[in-house]
Amino acid sequence: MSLHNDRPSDDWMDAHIEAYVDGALSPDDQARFEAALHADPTWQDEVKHARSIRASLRSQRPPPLPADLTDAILKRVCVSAPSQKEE
Amino acid sequence: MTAFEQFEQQVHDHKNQVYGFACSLLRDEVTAQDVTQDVFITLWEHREDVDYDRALPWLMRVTRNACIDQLRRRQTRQKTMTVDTEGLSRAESERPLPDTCTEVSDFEDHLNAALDQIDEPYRSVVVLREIQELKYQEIADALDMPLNTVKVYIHRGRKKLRTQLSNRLDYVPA
Repeated sequence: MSLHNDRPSDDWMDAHIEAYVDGALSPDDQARFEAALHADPTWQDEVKHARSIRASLRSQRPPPLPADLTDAILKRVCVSAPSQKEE
Repeated sequence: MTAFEQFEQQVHDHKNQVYGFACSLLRDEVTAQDVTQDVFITLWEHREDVDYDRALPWLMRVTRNACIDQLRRRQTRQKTMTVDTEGLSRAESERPLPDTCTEVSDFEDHLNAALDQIDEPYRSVVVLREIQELKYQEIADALDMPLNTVKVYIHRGRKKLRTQLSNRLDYVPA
C-alpha cells in the first residue's frame, strides 16, 4: 500500500491514462491515478485532451450507405449468379 | 432462409459499418462506395466459408485490406503525378495536410487529419474501436490478432493520436 502513496512516474501515468479515461482502471490504480492527477495540472490537461478526442471520435457518424448502392449490390449478385438466388 | 436471403440480411445488417469504416480510412465517399460494393460481392463469393454469425469481423478485415490497396494506389498515383514537382506529394489522404491547408479550423478537422497520419494497424484499431465501436474480440477477429495485442494497440493508437493531435494544435500542457 505504501507504494500507492508514492507519486507515480510520468511513464506510469502515461501507461494508464487511456484506461483511466475508459473507466477501466482497478480501484487501487484509479485512486493512485487520481491522487497524482489532482497534484499535477499537466496530467489534468492530458486527461481533458484524451476525453475530447474520445468524445469527438464517438460522435462521428459516417453517412449511411446510399440506398441505391444497396440495390446495386443485390443486383450485382443476382446478375452474377441468378440461379443461386433460389438456393 | 435461402443463401440469397441470408446475404441480403447481412448486407442490411452490416452495410453502414462497412461503408463507415471505408469512409474513415479513405476519406473519400465515392471510393468507399466502390469498396463497399466489392466487399459484399466478395462476401457472396465466399458465402460458403464465412460463418453467418461472424460475418462482421470478416467484412471488416476484407474492407481494411481493400482500403489499404486503394491507399497504396493513391500514393503511387500521387508520386507519379508529383515526380516533377518536388515537395508536393502528399501522404495517404486526399485531404490537404496542415501545411498546405489554410482553413483547417475546427477540432474535428484536426482530429481526422491527425488520425490520417497514424500508421497501420493503429489507425484501423482506433477507428474500429472508437468510431465503429466494435468489441475487442471483434477487432481481434477482424485484424487476425490476439486479444491482448489488440488491447496494446488500442492504447498505443490512442496515444499516437493524442500526440499527433497535440502537435497539430500546438497543444502545450500547462
